[in-house]
Amino acid sequence: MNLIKRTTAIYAVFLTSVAFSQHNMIKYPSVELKGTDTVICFTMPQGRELAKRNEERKKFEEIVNLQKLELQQMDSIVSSQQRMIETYKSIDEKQQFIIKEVKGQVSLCDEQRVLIEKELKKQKRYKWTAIISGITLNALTIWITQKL
Amino acid sequence: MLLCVVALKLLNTNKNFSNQRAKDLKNQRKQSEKLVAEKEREVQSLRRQLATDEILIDESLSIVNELRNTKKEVETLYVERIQKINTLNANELKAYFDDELN
Repeated sequence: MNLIKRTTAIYAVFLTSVAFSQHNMIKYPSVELKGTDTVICFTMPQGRELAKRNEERKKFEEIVNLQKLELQQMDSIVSSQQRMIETYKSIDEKQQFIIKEVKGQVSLCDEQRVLIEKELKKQKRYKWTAIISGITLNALTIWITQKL
Repeated sequence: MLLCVVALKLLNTNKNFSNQRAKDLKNQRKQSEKLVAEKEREVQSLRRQLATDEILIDESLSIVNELRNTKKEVETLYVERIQKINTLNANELKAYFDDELN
């Protein structure tokens, strides 16, 4: 009698533990029927994970938008810099032209200086020729007058 | 007397030639100066364009910096939100999903 009671008790404990373990074996997320609604149940850690992934998605969306804007700005910087390079090239060409022209002007000035110097020398020569001729003429005139 | 006249004539011709050459040189220089002035004006205009481009680049760079700062803020906000999510209880988590879904 005692043995039967003990066996029954052991069997009851076994059944309870099996039922309990089966209850714990439910895998989440699970699909459950609540009234007319079919619901999906998540555990708290799963819910948190979903929330975290949602936040991550939102973060990436915002970052992608910001990076698109950054890319636009970078494109604008690149085009401005390309324009600047072209402008610098153009300035360089013009400066080279100016240098060439100024060098030409310097050689023109040199030529003009040489002409002026020549002219100056000639003028000096004329001046002395005139002085000497005048003196000679005067001397001749005086000498002829005295002879006469 | 005749020799004197010929000499004077030759001298005069030479002088005229020199004067003409000087005048030519002067004209050439004037033309060159005009060209140089024109090119210098063009260079000035290009320099102004460069300054405008530099301003544009500076503006774009400051916008890029702002965007990068905003990105850092987004990252910080994300970390804060994740920390907050870790401390949410069931009702708060439900409220979170309510907010997100509606």
